[in-house]
Amino acid sequence: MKKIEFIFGSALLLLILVGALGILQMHTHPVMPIEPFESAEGIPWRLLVALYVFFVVSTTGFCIIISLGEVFGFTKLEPILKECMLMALVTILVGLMTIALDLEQVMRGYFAIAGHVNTTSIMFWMIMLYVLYVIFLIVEIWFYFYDDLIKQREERGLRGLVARVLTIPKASETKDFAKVIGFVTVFTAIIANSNLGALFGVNYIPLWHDPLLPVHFVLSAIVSGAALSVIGVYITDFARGVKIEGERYEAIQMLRVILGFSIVVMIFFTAWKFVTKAYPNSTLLSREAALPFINGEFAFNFWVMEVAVGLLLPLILLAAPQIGRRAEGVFAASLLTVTGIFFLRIDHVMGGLALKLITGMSFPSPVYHPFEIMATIGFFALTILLYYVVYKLMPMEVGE
Amino acid sequence: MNRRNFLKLIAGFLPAVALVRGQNAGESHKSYVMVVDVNKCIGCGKCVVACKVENDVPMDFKLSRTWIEGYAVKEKIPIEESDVKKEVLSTSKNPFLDKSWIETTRGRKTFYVPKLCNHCANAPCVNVCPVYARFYTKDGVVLLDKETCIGCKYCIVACPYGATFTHPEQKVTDKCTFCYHRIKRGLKPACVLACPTGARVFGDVNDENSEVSRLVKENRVAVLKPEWGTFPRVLYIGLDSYVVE
Repeated sequence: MKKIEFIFGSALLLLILVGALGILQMHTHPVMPIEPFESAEGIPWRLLVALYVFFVVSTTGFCIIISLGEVFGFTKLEPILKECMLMALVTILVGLMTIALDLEQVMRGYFAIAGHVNTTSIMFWMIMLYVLYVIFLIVEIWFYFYDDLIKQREERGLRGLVARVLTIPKASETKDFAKVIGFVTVFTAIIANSNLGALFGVNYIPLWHDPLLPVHFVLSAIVSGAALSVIGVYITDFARGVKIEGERYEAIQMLRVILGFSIVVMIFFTAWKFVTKAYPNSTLLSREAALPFINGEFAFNFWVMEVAVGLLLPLILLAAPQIGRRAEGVFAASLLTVTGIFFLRIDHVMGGLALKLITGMSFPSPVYHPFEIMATIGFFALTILLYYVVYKLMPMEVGE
Repeated sequence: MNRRNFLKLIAGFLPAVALVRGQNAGESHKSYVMVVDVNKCIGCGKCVVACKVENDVPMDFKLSRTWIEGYAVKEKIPIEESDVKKEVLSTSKNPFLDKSWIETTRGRKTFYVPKLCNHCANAPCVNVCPVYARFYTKDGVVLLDKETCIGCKYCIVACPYGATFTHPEQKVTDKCTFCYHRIKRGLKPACVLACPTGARVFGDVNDENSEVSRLVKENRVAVLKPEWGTFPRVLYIGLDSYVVE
């Protein structure tokens, strides 16, 4: 192991430790007791739920990008599909871990499999669909990597061992199978993702209650997936000391087009969502839900982080030929977009809950507990570390 | 076990099953409701304290199965937000006796609205719970199985009345049960018993001789947030329109 890798790995482990401490504190002390809305200020779903949404929507985004390249003939994306697959796997696993650790009674999760389930609950279907998605994704990855794993078997050390273990089951025509499974995976991912949108469709929360919300979730998944793919590929090549050129450059340029187009649609969605909700003749609750974003407690998050940083600035960077044609320019735009998307998740989850239910009620402002922030940092570090480990173990560079 | 013994066992078991089923069938005729007369509530908070003591609810302002909202209205038709002043009582410390509350509400119409879980007939919390931890009893009460609850907090999000919270020690959600352990023994809920003015009345609305039946017949009753179609079992007498909203 190189010295730089050791330092990098140690720093990530330290951050994961910080996150683990945050989670431990959240579960062993009532640091954030949840209270009835009307009797006190309180938001039951907070930063970790927003983080969960961020991760699972991102995994759907990756899956859509993968399917475009693998199934739907966007051949320019093929050179980056392996990275996207690993990132899809890592984000869904960390996402599920995030929501599991946000549960007050995480050890009772077995109810979901043991049959004590409520089939009218959207949350039950969310669990089932994401579990199904993980299974399909793993099968797809196995088929896709199979030929390269066969080549990797000859290597010594851990990589060779991993390849030998993973190739114990035999298969042929694996790429064709990967395509079929890839179609099933993206289908499951989109259903799971739109189901997640429906989960937020609580009818008395006007910011959430919107028939377009599931569609909005799928759209934001494309934005999120495209931007994170660019970031992942760019950082991977940077760490490998390889300049992005040739086929991988073409793939980045294809992602630039997808990202730019989906950001434009996203701008329309965002604008009309708030225009219809804040229109003077909308219902009182609808206006009260929208106004904190326009000129209230969430205004900075919305105008600066979501709109300026997350949508407008990246669009300008992507559209400007001199910036957009450079991989660094697309990377910068993607970084801004992901920042905006992260704030979109926070605003969606916490802003939706923090509305006035009755005239005269004080407004709960968005406050983040230090333990939540620690846990969030830990989960991000875990995502990077897991990706790094999986990247090292899988045959990513075989045949290059 | 031979055939004779097996048949004996069955013969002994069947009447017992029939008895239990008969009891349940009898109970299913009951339909518990609580009638709250807003005109009688003086905002003393005895119900809040009684509930906390009876049900082991922490003496924390933020955690209450029942609470009282005090309203002070400036104009007859409030237009601005400042026209309505609202304060909440959910501990033994009574903010309505506070000097600032009295000063700022002088000259306004003031009244108190006790609130609790509405035990909706179409309860959002029951519908959304992924593990069936929330359920209806045959007499219409919405209960929580604390051994099953995974603490996902979806019920807190889904409840339009804000009547559910996470118990900080038990690490599961908690809410009013109409003191189910008491009413099954023929006793009144703790809050009803503690109310000095009789603002809260509890009973079986299917029983024509019960006080709740009489109150429902003789008064115009309203429910909170009827627009969500939850069909609450907590009925209010003398409720102002914007509290209903």
